Amino acid sequence: MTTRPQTAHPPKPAQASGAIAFNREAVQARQSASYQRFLGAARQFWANTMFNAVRRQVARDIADPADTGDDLARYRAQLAALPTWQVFTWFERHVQRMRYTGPYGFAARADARRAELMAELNEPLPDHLLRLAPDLEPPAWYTSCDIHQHPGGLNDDPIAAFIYRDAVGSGVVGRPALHERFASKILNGGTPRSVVDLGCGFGRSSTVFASTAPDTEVTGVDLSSSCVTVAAHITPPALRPRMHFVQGDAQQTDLPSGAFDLVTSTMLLHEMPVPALEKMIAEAGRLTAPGGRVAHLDFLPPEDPLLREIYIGHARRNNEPFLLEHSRIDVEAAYRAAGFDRVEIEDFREDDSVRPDSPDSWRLPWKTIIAYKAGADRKPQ
Amino acid sequence: MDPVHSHRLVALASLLAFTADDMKSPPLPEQTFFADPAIDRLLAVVMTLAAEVQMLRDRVQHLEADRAGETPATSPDDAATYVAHILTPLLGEQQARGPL
Repeated sequence: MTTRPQTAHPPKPAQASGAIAFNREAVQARQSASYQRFLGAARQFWANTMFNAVRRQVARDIADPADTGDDLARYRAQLAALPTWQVFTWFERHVQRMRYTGPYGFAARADARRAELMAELNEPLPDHLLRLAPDLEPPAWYTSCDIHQHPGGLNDDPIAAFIYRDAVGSGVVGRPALHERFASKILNGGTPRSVVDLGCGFGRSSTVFASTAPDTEVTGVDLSSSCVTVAAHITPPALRPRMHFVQGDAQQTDLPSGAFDLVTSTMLLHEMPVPALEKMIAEAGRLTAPGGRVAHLDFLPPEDPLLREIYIGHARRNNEPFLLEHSRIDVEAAYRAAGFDRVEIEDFREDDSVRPDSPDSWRLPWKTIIAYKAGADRKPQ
Repeated sequence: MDPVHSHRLVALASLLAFTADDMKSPPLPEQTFFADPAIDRLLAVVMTLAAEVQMLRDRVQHLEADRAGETPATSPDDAATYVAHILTPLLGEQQARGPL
């Protein structure tokens, strides 16, 4: 073995290299970031390159199904036998699993920062900003499955919403302008004086409505105490006087009847079973003021057979057992029964590059569902 | 939604029927996607190792930059290139045209 001359690679001063080499927290943070960067790249490869390979190979090898049960079974069996389909579906399941779990996943990263995050949650808040419901019993459908493969879900751990925020921030729903585009679309139809955001999560959509409509009062409601608590704490100070976060059930809030010009939700419908959806729609009808609107941003199954199959399988692979429920009910009829006289369902593009009918990459089939309530005495301004 | 579309949806969804009761008592068996479940497990090991290699690559890059007196920087493009390099064989497509 030869020894390199020191003049070619002079050693650095001990404090410079030592500061990096032995700062365990910094190294762990870099490792977690590196791990998530790998998974982000793997996810992009899955949604773009691998998705297009599946499309090419399905178009080459498998005929589209006719509208009969037997033919659907044949299509599904041929798809399941296609190796690239097997790989594609495996990746959806396991890249998401890896993002959350393991020593470098979001859950472990948040746990390592637990004391810091809990200190953030112990900061004092204005009284109006947060209202918790310690006696609220969450529905079984909400607690029985770890939605999105988030270990433990959002129900118990006070820092769970921070984990959710990390995951959303680097996933398909983390596209920077998603919520802004939705809010702009809805606010183009009139600026409401008061908004309630059902299933508000950590307040991303609520905050966008408040920041886009500068005189609007916004109330966010969520079953998760962690979500509404984190939402309240991360609300920018300038928006705090006009915002409220309430732990509650969208099926039966204790908010006043007819108090909101706009009842909205972002990615809530597909997380609820049919009976809960029906109650939530009735509750939205109760909360909406005459002349007001309900606006949901959510998904509906695509028409293309391959895209539809990917979407349907996403329910199981991503632990979203109720993904298909709201597409089984007649949403328009449900809203008419709840006192609305017009319902519009439209495609929604999460950015300008998206082509909904023949996408260059796999995307969730976003839709806006907007219901209008009659009542000339109090129209949106 | 048109009735035909709705019929298709219900027919396909029934094949993946699962209930809240199914999910109450972990640990449940992990989902499988290949004919041999061992492939599911081995691919998970390969992906975990690939992630570890990515972390080592970044760490070496960081140390090299530090040693050279440069500001360490990692690029998403590096990760994308690395991922494409290791995952492209999974697509099962020839990279240069030839006989089957």
